[in-house]
Amino acid sequence: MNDMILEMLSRILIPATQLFGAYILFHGHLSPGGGFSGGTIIGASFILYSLVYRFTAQKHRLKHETSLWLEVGGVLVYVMAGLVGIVFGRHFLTNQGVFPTGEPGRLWSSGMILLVTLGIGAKVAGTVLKLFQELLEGGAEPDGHH
Amino acid sequence: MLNLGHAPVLIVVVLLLAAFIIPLLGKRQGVVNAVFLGAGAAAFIMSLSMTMRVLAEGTLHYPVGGWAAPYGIVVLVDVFAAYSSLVLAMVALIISWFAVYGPREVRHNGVYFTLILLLTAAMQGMVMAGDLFNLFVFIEISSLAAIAIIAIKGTKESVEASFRYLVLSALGSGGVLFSIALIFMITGHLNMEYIRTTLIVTAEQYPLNLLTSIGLMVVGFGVKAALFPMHVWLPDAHSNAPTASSALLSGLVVKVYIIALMRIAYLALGLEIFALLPIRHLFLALSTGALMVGSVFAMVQDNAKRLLAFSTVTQVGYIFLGFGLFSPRAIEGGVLHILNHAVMKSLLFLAAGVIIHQTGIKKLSQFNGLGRKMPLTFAAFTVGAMSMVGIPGTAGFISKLYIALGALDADMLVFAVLILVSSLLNAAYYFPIIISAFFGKDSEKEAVEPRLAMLAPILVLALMVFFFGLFPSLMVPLVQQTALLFVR
Repeated sequence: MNDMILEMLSRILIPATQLFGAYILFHGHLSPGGGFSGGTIIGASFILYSLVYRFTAQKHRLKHETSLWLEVGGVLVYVMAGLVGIVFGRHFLTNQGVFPTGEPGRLWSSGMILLVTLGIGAKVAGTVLKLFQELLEGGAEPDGHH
Repeated sequence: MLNLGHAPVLIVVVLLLAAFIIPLLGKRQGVVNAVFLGAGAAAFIMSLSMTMRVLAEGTLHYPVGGWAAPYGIVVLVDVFAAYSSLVLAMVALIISWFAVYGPREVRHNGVYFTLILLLTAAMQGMVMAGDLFNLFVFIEISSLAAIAIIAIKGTKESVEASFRYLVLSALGSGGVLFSIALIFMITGHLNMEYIRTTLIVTAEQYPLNLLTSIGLMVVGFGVKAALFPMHVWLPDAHSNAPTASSALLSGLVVKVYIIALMRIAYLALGLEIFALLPIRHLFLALSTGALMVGSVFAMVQDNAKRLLAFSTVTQVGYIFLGFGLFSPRAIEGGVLHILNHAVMKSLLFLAAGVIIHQTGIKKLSQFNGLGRKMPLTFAAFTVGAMSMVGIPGTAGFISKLYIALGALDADMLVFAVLILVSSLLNAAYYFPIIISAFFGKDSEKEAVEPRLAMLAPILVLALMVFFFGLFPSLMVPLVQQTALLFVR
């Protein structure tokens, strides 16, 4: 079923939602927000996308690999950022003295916090998408990745 | 080379990392197995080196991110944490081997391994956590992972059992969280060592808060550790899980909550409060119930894994009894029983799983004559059962002896008698199985020994039962120093 109103609206809504989510993510260390809220907003845009296009074309469906890579990638970024501290002879997750901290209040400041926030954001977005996919398919396993 | 001073976090990080990498590997089963077992082995080696270090240098404080307490998160590894971490890593590695090479009971091994790694990572984090909030986070991860490794079997019974476990476990988590909130309210700290120093002043001002908090804490952890009468979820959950899960749950998961509770008791609350309130008497009363009721229920079971699950209720009672008696030797016995029961109950569950897999028989009444057809498996089962009863020479004897001697030290003869009676009850339900398996009339069922890879973890565990039974001195420095944490 093709619904033109839905499709046209979603073309505006989805990028706007994602932009807002990215704003929340990138400003996590400066203003209220961060990985969890930003990731949820971006994940919500994926859900909107699946809802609008799911019934029209199979190729528009977001794959299980997408959510899997987002989830795992997010965790890997976080852990790697933590291990950098050990490589530099400090403690796990050390920020000061390992990462460039920049000027307070600017976007490129606070060292690894932004990096970690992006990792959390990816993980949360992936999880939100994954939960939606699981609910949609009712626990069925279409491609073995479950 | 990597500095092993980072072991307290690296153990958790390596296990978590492996848990998240395995889903990416997809269907490459060989690589998945290698990553799974490699992570377990790495955790074991790091845990061993960490334990050596704690024995040599004393308690380790690892400030995560380089931020010192009370504002930073501190991983606190004392002898008890090191000992627990070592037991967890060792037994989990052996069970992991069985999960890889044992009978296949779940559809997606990759997902199963991820959950096992998450569970072990959370348990490692829980025993080493230095502050209450991280402790709670790890409690939640381990609870959810533990529920998932039951439900993953996919049968009707396992889903129902895991749901019941979920509900009761969530109640327990709620109690623990509320109790942490109350403690934070009156102390302003989450770091356990700072809580203790603050409580010295504030405990008198807010007795009601503290009392409520400790009550919720004991009940919350009691539900999760299956302390009688809060054990109702355990028999279904542990007997309907896949074999490797049963071994993990009975051998390690229930004990981790006891370890966490006792760590809070001496690190955060301080032993003075522990002595002031009737917690010890509660432990004594409830563990008496566990020792009796667990055995009586186990006696009437005909399902092999259900019998073992009820036996776990009894054995958890022994550990609580050790802490409840509170004399040095009783605590040593309780701490030692954490290791010994982990080894012998894993052994029994894995052996029972292999027997069920090779013969298709779940009922104990049909085990007759199978011992002659599968001598090695049943010999290992016998070793585990003997250790449960407490035959000298096996690991179970040492810890029971210590708890009984501790009861005499505490001038509570009645509990020494109780241990004796409970051992007799254990014998009453374990020995008929063995006798009918070896000396009963032949069953028509065909049965052969499993392949060596499947049998290996069981034989290793059986050897460990003898090893810790004949050379208990190996663990004595750790256990004695742990007891000193409680009785100064």
